[in-house]
Amino acid sequence: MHALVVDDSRAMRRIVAGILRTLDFETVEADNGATALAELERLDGEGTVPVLACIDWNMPVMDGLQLVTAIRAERRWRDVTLMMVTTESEHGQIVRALAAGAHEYLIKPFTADAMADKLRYLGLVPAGVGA
Amino acid sequence: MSPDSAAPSVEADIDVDSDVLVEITQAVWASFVDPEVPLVDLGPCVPEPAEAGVVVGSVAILGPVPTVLSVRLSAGAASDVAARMFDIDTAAVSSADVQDATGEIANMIGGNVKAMLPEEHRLGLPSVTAATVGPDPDAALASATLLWGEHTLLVTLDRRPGGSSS
Repeated sequence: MHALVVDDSRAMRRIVAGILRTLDFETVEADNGATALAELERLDGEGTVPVLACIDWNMPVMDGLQLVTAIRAERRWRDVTLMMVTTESEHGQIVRALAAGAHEYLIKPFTADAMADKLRYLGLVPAGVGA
Repeated sequence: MSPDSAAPSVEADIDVDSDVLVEITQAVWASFVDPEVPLVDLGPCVPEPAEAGVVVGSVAILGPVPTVLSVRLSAGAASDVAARMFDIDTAAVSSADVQDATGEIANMIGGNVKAMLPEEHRLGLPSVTAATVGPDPDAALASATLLWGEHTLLVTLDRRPGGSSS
């Protein structure tokens, strides 16, 4: 399974991608929403559309909420599970992201176990993997 | 009662003190920097003159009460933080790694501070600079000094210079 990690911090992309690899994901990274869309197009062309995108909110060029909206506007990517991974923890922001089409929400700081629990809940990690 | 004293202070809406900064910073540290050596709270910041090699990660919190969340640490500490976040040897850390890691630390602390403010506040993008002046105690709404091993870091929430809300 492929996962797309979108964050403007290289350190955070490394941390999130590292956790996902322990859960048997192959990861691709992007540093903002616009480059994430380009990666999705590329992966789509290769027939390897990711099953999961972990998306930061505050990024230059195109932010995470705009990216969620753009992905949800494309029917061909409707099966991509979108999880916000962000410091934006106010109730109103969570509601906005879910209303735009995000499936889950993980607030920074988080632990590897917390991320695994979210993915298990979404059915993307089998029980017993990464436990 | 003067008109000034009758008007409620918008800063009264800010319920962020040193304990809050300590709690948030400790949580960020334990998750992404060092889960084994906890940050020790040394109390509110003691202003010091700017010294060479101090790195400052900052993020603006924009809104009715504009503020800046800053994390100040020595160049050595910043390299150690970057090494841990990138999982590389300290000798291999580049200035770009320090900028990225320090900025993300400020971003995470700032985002969690913003969540405690009235909802119309929003977070800017982080920036990282070399310190040219020491912390300004008159600008600080809250501050905390934390000890990480042999390193000290200062976390401050300051009124934003100029006070612009945009």
